[in-house]
Amino acid sequence: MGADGTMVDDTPAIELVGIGKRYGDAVALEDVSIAIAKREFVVLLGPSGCGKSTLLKVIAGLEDATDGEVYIDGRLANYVVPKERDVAMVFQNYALYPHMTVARNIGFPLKMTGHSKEEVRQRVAEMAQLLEMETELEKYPGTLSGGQRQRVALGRAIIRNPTAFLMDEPLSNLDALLRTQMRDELLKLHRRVGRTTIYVTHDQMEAMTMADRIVVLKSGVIQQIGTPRQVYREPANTFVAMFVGSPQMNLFAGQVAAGGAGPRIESPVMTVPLDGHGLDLDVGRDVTIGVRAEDIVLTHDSDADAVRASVTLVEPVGADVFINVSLPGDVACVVRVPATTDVTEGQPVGLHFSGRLHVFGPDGARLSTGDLFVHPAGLG
Amino acid sequence: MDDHAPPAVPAPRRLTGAEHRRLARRYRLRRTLQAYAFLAPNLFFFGLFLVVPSIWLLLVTFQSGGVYGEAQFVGLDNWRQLFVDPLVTQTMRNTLLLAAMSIPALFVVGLGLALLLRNIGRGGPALRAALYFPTLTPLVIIGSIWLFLVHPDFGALNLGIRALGGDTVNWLGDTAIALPTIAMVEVWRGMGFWALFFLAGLLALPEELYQAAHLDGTNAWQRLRYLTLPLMRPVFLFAAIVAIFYTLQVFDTVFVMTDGGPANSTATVAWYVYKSIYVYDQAGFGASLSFILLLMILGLTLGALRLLRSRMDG
Amino acid sequence: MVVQHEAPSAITDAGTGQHRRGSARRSSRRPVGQAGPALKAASYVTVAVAALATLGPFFYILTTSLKDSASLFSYPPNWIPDELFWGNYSRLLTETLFVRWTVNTLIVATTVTALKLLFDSMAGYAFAKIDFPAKEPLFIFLLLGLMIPVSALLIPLFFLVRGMNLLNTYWALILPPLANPIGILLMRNFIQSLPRDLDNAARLDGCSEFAIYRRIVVPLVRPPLVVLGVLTFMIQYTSFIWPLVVTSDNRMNVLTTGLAGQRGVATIDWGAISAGGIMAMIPITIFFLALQRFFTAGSLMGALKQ
Ligand SMILES: Nc1ncnc2c1ncn2[C@@H]1O[C@H](COP(=O)(O)OP(=O)(O)OP(=O)(O)O)[C@@H](O)[C@H]1O
Ligand SMILES: [Mg+2]
Repeated sequence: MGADGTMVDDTPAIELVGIGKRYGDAVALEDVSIAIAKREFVVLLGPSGCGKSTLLKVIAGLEDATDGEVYIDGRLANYVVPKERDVAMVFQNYALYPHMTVARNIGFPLKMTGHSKEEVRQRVAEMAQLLEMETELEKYPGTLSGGQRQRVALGRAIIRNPTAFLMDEPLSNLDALLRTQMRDELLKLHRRVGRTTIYVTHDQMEAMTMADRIVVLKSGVIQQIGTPRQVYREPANTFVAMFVGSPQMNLFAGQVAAGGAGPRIESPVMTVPLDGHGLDLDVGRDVTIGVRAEDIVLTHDSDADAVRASVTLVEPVGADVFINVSLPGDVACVVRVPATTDVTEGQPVGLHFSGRLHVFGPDGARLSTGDLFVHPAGLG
Repeated sequence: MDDHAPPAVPAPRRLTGAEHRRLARRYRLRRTLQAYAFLAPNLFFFGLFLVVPSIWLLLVTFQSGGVYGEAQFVGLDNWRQLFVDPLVTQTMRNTLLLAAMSIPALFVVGLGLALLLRNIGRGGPALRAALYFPTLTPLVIIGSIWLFLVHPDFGALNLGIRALGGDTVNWLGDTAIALPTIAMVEVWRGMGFWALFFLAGLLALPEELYQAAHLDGTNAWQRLRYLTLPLMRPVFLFAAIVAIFYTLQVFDTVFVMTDGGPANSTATVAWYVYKSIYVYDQAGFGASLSFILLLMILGLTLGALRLLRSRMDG
Repeated sequence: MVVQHEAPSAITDAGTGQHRRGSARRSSRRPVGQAGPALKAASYVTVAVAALATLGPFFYILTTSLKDSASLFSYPPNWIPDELFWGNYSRLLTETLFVRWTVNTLIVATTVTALKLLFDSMAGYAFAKIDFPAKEPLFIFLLLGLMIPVSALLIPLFFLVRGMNLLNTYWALILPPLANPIGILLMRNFIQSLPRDLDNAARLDGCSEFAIYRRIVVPLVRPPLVVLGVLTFMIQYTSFIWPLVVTSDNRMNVLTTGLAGQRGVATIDWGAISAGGIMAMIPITIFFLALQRFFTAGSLMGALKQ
């Protein structure tokens, strides 16, 4: 932003300061703070009920925050009625007006803001072209397919030129194919229109592919804000590590122990020497080791340096295969290997933990990530 | 993309708590005013024509006169009179008797017709409309029609009886028969309404249950007794409340057909309330009587609620 | 009056909020076919007899209204008059204020209906879609009004209306019936069943609360509005005791009170009364047939469920 030296308006499009929202005693949002730049595409990611929709509604003014401040384009918005906040929203279930045609649905925001009939008609026509909906303009929402309704809902939002778009799981009701297709169309649209967008989903694939930044929410509390890459490669805590990525990151309980060659983490499965990694951990401390499925290498069980395991389940997922294995100490883990790998259930195998390893403290927060060398348990 | 990511932790809050509270109050006040603007017409009429009269009703019970002459404060006289006036007990008795005769009959006939209507496909709408027709008819007209039908000499009912060789009945002239005659008219008028009401309830019952019961080899009577009737309880409950509320206020039929006679045998509470305004100029007494009516309705409604509720639980 | 069960619907599903245009008439989903032919035939016969019993008296007064007083009491009675006698009708139209009463009735019933639809849908909207302090207690307070029968308030209402100098005016006939809160309950329940996001979307699209009410809510609650309108109209059309209390001027009578006043003390003019009954049924019958598909207790009950 402004790196090339030109004058850029760097007022955040949306800024949240310590937002809290309670329904009675239930806390839906707690101390949510973030600044979202103009043109940025931010994805809100989190499990069901974590407060994603609530956060959008607080921004839009459809729910009052019980705490904190909302700024839209630099102005305090807490006490501004929704229609004057200048945001457009695509609702989780489209919320099309069932008694209006597609054309009237799309044109409704313009009509309500006092544009002339002629102008509304023209802009609706343009929008229909953009959405490839020209032939459906006189239909009623009830007669449209899910994907078409989706596009009408989008059209109704983007026909205005708001400060920001808020999109609440706009693709959640679509089948897989339509979903991917619409996702790409949405991204193209974003590139073209270039407006600040907050996009809610609990589908982490959608989040990874669309976001400039991802905000991971859990129980109303922000867990991590970062680029998809950061969130995936450097998860802030075990929750993010588990929630982002498919299959889930493998987690192993361990404990810091003193050893001949310096401190190390010992678990029933493996031993991780800590020398030279700047990790200063007290001996006896409980930690969790996280390894992504693709950072584990499968070898023969004859490999002496490998951790011994046996295959319990083989799940082909296209180009790759997820192999569930069971390890000593009644521990399970998932390994991702190319589909060409030849394994069968029940087969004994060896595992090499040679790639990235994450170490999380007892509270779940990430302490370190790096390429650590791992021995099978008891060795080293 | 990292290049336009602003600092993750934005500036601290810019307004004090007091400022927030002041702004929030103004913001919410505006919404409250909007809501009350929507409610205003209803609240106005509700207050003026329901709340005010309800309170006034209590005041009026301590007065006498007032319709033609000046009202006077008479203390508890009206209330005392309630206990000595034999017509009060008689009208209460008549009202309850009328309800006891007509409501069960309405329910049985209505439910029976509803069960039969369920079997009818073609021509159903026409038959339902025909059954419903008396409900549309002002009671004054119904009263007149029936006055004619039950005329002792040339009314259709007695003509029929005479043609069959029976003894004619003095429908409205006999103190023992006049009230049942009124009840008959009420049943005639209401059966179509309740038939459609119960039919609506029957059609909403889950059909799968019936299919399952059918497979279990139950007969029609068992299905009615152990399936339909228990499932219809909420409908009966609502119907009972409405029917009680309505029947205890019966006025029009009585006013047109008998005006309470003969010998006050068809005088209802609502009829006596009306009479005490214009005929007797005893608004205060009528107001006290209205309280009795109110209590009867509330009591019976709550009683019906309890009865049906406890049966539902049991 | 909280009823907990599924929305039944006898004649139509008017109550279920079909929003799409031009599809109001749906095929009924009655479980026909389970009944055997014998049961079916018996059902037809019994219901037809009941229908005859309800319509028979109307036919009876229709024939009576077409007889002159001489042939009225002939014995044996001739059920179908040999010659149609229109004298009862002309007498009614010329010697009474029948036309005036009809006009009064229509004015009152139409005005009450229109005002109730407007006020109740507005109140229903506020209760269903706006947050404001004391909402729940206020709503319950209004519902308590349902428990108070009008006939119990007759006397204070009479004093009130007289005190306002409104006896023998249209106002006396129109305003007090507006205090019935049943329509608020009905409209609130329906409006509440509209998805919350619908009005939220409108809010973001630049609508004021009134614009949401007018442009989004009203078009979508047309079915319950029709139900409420029809019931209100019917109740007003047949109402008797209140008009009887507040009108003494024959010119201010409505149909019911006017016809009731026709019954002389000593003799009863059966012909004229029958003719009056028949003519009084004409407007409401037309109204009923026009809106028959909405005209069910079931749709009201469906609307009242919570
Ligand atoms: N009107 C309300 N009253 C009470 N609690 C509410 C209300 N709206 C939301 N909540 C609660 O707030 C929490 C957050 O809800 P929210 O709808 O924001 O979740 P979400 O992240 O959008 O979930 P989903 O992915 O299922 O849409 C939930 O626990 C929910 O039960
Ligand atoms: Mg949500």
